Amino acid sequence: MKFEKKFSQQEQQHAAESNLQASETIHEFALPEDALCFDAKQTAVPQSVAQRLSQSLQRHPPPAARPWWKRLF
Amino acid sequence: MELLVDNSAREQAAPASPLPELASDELAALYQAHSREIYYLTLRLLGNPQRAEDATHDVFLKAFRKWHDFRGDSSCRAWLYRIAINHCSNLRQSWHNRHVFAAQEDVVEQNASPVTDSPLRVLEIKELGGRIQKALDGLPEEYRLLLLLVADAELSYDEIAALTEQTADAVRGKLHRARKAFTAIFQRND
Repeated sequence: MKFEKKFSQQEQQHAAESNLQASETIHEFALPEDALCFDAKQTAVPQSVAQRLSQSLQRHPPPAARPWWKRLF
Repeated sequence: MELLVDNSAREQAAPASPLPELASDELAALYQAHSREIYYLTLRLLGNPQRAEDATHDVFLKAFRKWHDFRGDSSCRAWLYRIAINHCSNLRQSWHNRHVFAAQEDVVEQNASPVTDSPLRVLEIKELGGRIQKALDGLPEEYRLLLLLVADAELSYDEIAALTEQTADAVRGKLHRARKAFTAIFQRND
């Protein structure tokens, strides 16, 4: 399914980036947030999240969009 | 907090009916653009990969259900962070962990050794995640959240201030103390 396929492609890309960065060894970070940012970039979202989301959305699709004029009130 | 989807859904085969195409594209793009940051936030706030996985699923499901009510008053990223922060907060309250972190602030301040300007060093990048988690676990909840939000370069100080319900000046002041406390714990665990 298209939705799940998009998710999977993204997860594979994240995993590949993570493996590449894991081969590096010594790192210095000037600020804590620099370390967190680096850590976040090499942390991949588990594929199972996308799969579960896709299943959940198929079982219970999100509500249809409301008319624009209803959103104003 | 009750999960939005029962876990038995994981084992069940996906129904054949496709999603409406527009909703599918919009939601897939939303997930693609922000899932890594939301997962990372939940991972470090909850300190457990399985709980973070559940939380990320629930956050996006909630966002997808409310997507058409999103009025654009804030950025998509900030809106998702808001949902994730509230979700994690509810989970943590339900685990009765709150008092532990509330009591830690004074301890962190007292134990924080004089912080040098030396950078945070890690020999092996694979140990970084564990050391970050240990350092974050030793911080008061407010400091932990501030550092995690500041680490996302897409968020402005004003957005962080709105997400944490304080002024941008207060964010800057607390961020300074949060950095000191984090660095002290991180270096102690070296």
